[in-house]
Amino acid sequence: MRVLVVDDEIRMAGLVRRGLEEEGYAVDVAHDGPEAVWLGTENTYDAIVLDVMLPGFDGFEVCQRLRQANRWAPVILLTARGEVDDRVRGLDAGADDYLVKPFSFAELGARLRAVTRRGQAARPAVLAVGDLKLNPATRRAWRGDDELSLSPKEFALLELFLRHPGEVLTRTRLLEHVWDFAYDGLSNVVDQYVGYLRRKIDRPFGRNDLETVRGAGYRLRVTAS
Amino acid sequence: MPIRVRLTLLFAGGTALVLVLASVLFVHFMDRELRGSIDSDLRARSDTISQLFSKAPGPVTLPNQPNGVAQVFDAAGRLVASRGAGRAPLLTPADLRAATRRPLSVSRTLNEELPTPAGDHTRLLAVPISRADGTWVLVVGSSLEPADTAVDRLRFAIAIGGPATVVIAVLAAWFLASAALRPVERMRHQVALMSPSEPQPALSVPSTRDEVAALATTMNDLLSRVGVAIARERAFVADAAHELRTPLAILRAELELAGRPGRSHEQLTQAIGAAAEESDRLSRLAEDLLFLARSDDAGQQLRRQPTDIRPLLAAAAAARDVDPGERPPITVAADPALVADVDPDRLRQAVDNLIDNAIRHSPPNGAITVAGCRDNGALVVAVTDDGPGFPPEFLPHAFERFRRADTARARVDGGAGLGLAIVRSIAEAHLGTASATNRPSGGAVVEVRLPVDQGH
Repeated sequence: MRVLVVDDEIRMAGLVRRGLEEEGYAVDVAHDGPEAVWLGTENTYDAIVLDVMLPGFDGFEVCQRLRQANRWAPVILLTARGEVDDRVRGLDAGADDYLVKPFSFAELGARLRAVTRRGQAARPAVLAVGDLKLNPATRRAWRGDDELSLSPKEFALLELFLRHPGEVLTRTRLLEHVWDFAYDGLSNVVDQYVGYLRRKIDRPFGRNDLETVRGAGYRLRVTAS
Repeated sequence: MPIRVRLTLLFAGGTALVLVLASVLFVHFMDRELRGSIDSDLRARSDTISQLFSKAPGPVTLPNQPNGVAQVFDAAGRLVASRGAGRAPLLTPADLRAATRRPLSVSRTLNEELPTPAGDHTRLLAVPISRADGTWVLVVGSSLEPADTAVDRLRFAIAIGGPATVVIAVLAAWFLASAALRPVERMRHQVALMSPSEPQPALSVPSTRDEVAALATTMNDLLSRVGVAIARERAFVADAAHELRTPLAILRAELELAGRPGRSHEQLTQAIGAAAEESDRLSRLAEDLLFLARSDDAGQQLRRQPTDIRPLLAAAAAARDVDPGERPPITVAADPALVADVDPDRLRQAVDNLIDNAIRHSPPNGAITVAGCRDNGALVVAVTDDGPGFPPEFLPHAFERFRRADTARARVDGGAGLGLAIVRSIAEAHLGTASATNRPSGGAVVEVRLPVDQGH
């Protein structure tokens, strides 16, 4: 397993490297933001241990740049900044885990293992299919440059479609994932809301991406953009 | 007791007092006036009637007395004539005798059986009439009833109007006081809603430009300053906590790795050494933080005493010259006779920090100079080095807490950015200043200027 460790404190970086090497990892070290992005883009790592306070640009930005460059190595942020705001920001920037210093090696090891189990599928923080874009953290969505104004249910529905582009989603599945167990209404609420959604994302733009598949369900078409 | 109640009670009390006094005086004077005019009238009538009876034998009947009573007594005290009063004498014999000598005034309530305006409260005037056949007495009287009624009516009116006025005054006072105090209550309410941890200068200042507005403005000022102080303190605590975490993390990692099985003696020794070093760093950091926290809180308590400067600077330089072979010695330049009234421990602390900075930023062969001199009533201590100097964009922030010239802490012994902040704190405690500049020939100079003459 190859790991990139990024920390500007030489002592800290050295210790983490030593600790991980003793557990059998192959470790590269970077001491600033630009170096981290360069190494992360050039090489494929199984995991990245990333400090937040770095010279150049900070760990949050390193993470964003790597994701933009389509590098999906799992990132554990390892930092002394432990406020809730920092953690939210880090995770929304595309990190997979957040560990506050002082930390224990045992925990770092366990989290590394947990995070590498998940694999390296593309896991963008912001969903995008064609010119539709949706940011689950900020609850905003766009088609092209136009921002869409969606109700919470419409938003949740669009999010589900964007997570399964080109797939047929049955009414049951839509109902189960967007409405909760307590929902006791008619199942044509799904049809209703797909209608609302179409009226907001397709009709004003003269598009027809949200299609009905007769007898099966609905599908969001993947158009080449 | 609320101000409103106090004001109203005072006002009501004052109004009532004034009203009572005024009423008493008014009624008194009214009464006197009324009785006075009755007495004048009686005197006039007695003069007129006396004329009639002044010559013996005189008439035996009195003229009609439309507004009162009259009686005439002869020298022997017998009733000769009477008008409006029947046959009962209006005066007692004793009074009659007294009246023969001089006029006598008396008020009496007449017998109710008399047919006239009798039964009234009557004012009588008895005058002697000197005649050839002895001294007769003429008694004239007027009813005091009109006067009494007038005064009674007045008293009644006052009895009703007075309290009514007081009540109205009380209500007016209450409303006025409430109106005046309402802005104060509004402000109190706003202040009560403010959270102590986030004071905002958000009191609404009324547009009345009066004392209340002035109070609101002043309070807003205070809230601003308190807010700034709290924010600074909070930032300091956050930064301090953050700074402490890094050496703690290193310490912990060092020990955790050393604790893994199969360590050689050498590895353990090394780990313990590194951990000890990190502990030192931590305790220095903690000391620095405590120092700054204390100086924020209470101001530095200085113990000034006449201090030999040169030996102090030399000692600071010697303490750092641990590897004389590794680097050029630190040069000390100061007049041996230089003595100043400063706190020697604090000055030493400041100089230590400055020398540490100089060493940290100096190239291996760089020269470091510590100089002390007197200039214009101040002790000036300056530390100079041959390093790269301060980055120009950092220079204005050099003395701020947690500010490092290289925001990368990529140096192994990276400080926390508190050294210069401490130097400034010490300088300011001495009512002095600390400044930093880059020398034109290269390198940096940090200068501390402490006023020591005139009263110190």
